[in-house]
Amino acid sequence: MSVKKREWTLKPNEEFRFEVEPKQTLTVKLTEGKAELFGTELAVDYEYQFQGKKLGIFTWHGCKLETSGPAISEYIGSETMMNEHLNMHFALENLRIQAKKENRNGPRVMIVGSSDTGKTTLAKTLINYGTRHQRTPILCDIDPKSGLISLPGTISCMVITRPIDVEEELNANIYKTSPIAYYYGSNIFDKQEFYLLLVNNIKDSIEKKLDNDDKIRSDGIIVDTPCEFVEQQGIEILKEAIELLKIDCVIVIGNERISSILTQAGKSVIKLQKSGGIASRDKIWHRQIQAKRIKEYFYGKDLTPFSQTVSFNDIIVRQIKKGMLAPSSALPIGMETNPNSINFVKIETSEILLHSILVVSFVPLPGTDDEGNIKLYTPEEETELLKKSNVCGFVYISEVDEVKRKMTVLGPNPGRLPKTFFVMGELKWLDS
Amino acid sequence: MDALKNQYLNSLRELTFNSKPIITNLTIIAEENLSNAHVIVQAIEQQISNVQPAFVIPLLYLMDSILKNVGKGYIAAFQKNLVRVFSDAYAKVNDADKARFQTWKATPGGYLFPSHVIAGIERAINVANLPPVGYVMNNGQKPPAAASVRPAVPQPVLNQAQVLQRLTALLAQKNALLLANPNNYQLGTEINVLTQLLQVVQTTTLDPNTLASINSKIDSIAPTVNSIPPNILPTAPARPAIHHPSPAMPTPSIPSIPIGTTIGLSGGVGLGSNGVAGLGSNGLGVPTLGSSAGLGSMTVGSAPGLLGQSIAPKTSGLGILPNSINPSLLANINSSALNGLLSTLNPSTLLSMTNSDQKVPVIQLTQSDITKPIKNLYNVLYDDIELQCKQCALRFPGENGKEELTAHLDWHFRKNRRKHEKKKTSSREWYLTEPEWVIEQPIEPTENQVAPVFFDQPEEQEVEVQSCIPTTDPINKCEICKETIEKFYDDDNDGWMLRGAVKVNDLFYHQTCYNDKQDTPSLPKRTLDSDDMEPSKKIRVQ
Repeated sequence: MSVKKREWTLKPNEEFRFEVEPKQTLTVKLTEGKAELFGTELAVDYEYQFQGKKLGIFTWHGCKLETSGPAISEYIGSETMMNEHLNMHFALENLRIQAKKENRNGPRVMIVGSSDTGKTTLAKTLINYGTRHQRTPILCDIDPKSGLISLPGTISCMVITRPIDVEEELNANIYKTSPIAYYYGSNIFDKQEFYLLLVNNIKDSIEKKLDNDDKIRSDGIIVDTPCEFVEQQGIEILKEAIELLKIDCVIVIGNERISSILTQAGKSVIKLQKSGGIASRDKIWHRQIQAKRIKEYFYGKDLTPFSQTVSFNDIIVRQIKKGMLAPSSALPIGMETNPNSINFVKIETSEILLHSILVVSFVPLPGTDDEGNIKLYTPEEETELLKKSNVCGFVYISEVDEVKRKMTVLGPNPGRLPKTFFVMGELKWLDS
Repeated sequence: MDALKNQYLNSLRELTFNSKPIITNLTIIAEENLSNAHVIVQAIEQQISNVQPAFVIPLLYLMDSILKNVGKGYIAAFQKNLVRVFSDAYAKVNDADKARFQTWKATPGGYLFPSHVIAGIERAINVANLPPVGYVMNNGQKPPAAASVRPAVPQPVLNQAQVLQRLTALLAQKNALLLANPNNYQLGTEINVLTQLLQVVQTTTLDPNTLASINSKIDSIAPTVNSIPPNILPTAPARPAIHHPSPAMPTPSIPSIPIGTTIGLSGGVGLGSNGVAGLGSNGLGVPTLGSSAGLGSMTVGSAPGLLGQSIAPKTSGLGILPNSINPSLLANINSSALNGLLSTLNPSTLLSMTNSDQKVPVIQLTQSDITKPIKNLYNVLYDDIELQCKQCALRFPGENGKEELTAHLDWHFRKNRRKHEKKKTSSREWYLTEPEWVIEQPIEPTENQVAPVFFDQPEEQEVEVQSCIPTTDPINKCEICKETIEKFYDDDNDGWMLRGAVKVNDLFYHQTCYNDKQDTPSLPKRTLDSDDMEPSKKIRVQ
């Protein structure tokens, strides 16, 4: 499909918005002037390629853009919230300077709003502006669906030292720092306690890092949140997360109800309107983007994953289950079942793993440790360790041969698979 | 001849106040009669000697305008009687206007007249028992002149005459050194500040508070001068006396002088050269500061650096006499109005004022501050950071910007080169353990290179593995190629290992890099037993 080149002339403070299907490629070139994508400045005359994106390229100065390739939509909009976003950045800068002077924590901001309100856009913009000021803020994504930093299903965070890559975003292999991720699943209401436990885990990791690094400490944290936070059920989780992460200020986008609830609860709140250019995204879109994220994890733009065949015996897979394993009648007298408790239960290596994305944990498999001691776990110990473990990476099961009891595993790199517990999550994928 | 002279004299009679249109008109007439320059000059000289003292100054402005805009024959024509005319005029005018003569003297730049003429003027004026003043024209081509300052005795000043006296004395000393030290921008600026103050004092009746504030400004200039012995000053290097509290650097931006001095006047000298540099071209000065007429006219009409240019027909702003500055306006100029004044400047100027180490405007994390628009604020992220990578648009602020940009370009180069060497590819690494992540320091992204298919390189079955690196050690770069050395988890040793690396004198190297460098194949290395190795581990690193 060949589509002609289109030229777009933007006046100052306008935004070029476009949507492109996940399996199509739109090329955008800045030919004149200056422009930025969520706070990352674009290079002149570079052909940026986008697949499966709904984006807005904004210009403070005015610019000319050239696009080619198929697009669902392309237009120039003028209603943006960029002035507010920029001021917000400078407000954070003031707080960072102050924090540095007084050697204390930098600003911690949480962005809250329903789906398709531009939460992630604002988070990225604030992060990018920060890095353009030589800051190294922490981007913390506690929305398990987004996969902004790691794969969908995780809550994760990362110290960001440079503006986010325009094309590959945080999946690009250009960052000087690496993410830390904890695997959750998708729906935050499913396992609320576990969700908050993981938020607490990530908070612990962050606090340890900040104790270790004054620079990062004073540069603050930007937290992107799941849209479920603004639902009736989610408000309590939201409040809890604000407490856990020691948030200084909550930015509520387009939701007066939530902002007044939080204000009444004594939180510092800033209300922002939804930006004009937000395209809503449906489930099919989300699924396609998820698949794209997985592909990017393994293949990136020019990354080489590594496929190997392993025996069933070499891999031990667990699965997160809610509620007790045993019926209450089988429990010792006096012990009650907690319907909300989380356990990592055994899952038989079989065809069920086919096309699954497995989460590689850091919990070593039972066996001989350094001193030659034989280490074994009770199921409870195993669960406790897995609950606390951050993610080592992801593998994809591309083939399962039950007869030979062997399967083919795609790992991100040619190193041997870690001898740790794997966890089957909700992610399925077809490597095409 | 006489007709022309009479006609011109008639026109000159209209010039009873500092009117730009009239001066422009008279300048044009003078230009049209270039061949009769001496007639025009006679008319002007005659008028200067005949008019009331109050009308002398506009005539001198006219002289200035003709000299600079027409020049040529007029320079010679004026030169003939210049000393006499000038000293007569000087003797004639009141004290306030006398001081204004010095604004011309202070004009930075070269001279239209030979030095003996200028010396003559100075002598003539010295005779009049006043500080040396020269009628110095700026030919607009030379770099800004510099001046030095000599001690002025700081003393409590009670009345306007005393302030005036201090100012003239101080200015005279500086002017004397202006000639001796023509490259000192700092002092040139300083003279401008003093000149403006002088003009204000001369043309306006001031209340004691204003006088006190002016006096304090004189103090701010004078004390540093006191510390320098007068006899050293003329030969002092480029910056013999710095009066700006903030680190001021000489800027070769000539047109910005008047603006800088205006800021100096309004806010105290403390603003330093940031203000000057931030403003850029002189075009800004008028619209920015000219919002109040008196202030604007002061910027244009009294700033000596501009005098040469402002009188030119094309420049506006001369129409208002410095006399129009009234005390209330002057009061406005004082400190309290400073912020308001500055906020109309471009943000970079503003920012450098509000925070000494960061260009950040004061914006609070509040609803009202977030929504208030600040003009051109975005430039702090754009134009204010000049160093930029053309390939990816990254900008490099800060002191180490240049080094960072160089390192960044090297990184681009390596990345591009690798892209073209098809054999080498990179893979995503496993994430770090929590303790590793906690201590991780930003390092260039790992470009771990692996062969696409391991059995392509059977001769490299041998894997050299150096000792485990402690997880607390974030640095695992090859000292030769500066690339990160690939890390992997070795089950047999239960620790993280560097692949294909050697350790020499506590420094890590890629085996291959080290071999290449040493050209000796026998290096300290440890080879794993073959049965220790999984097939995937035998992949050799390039």
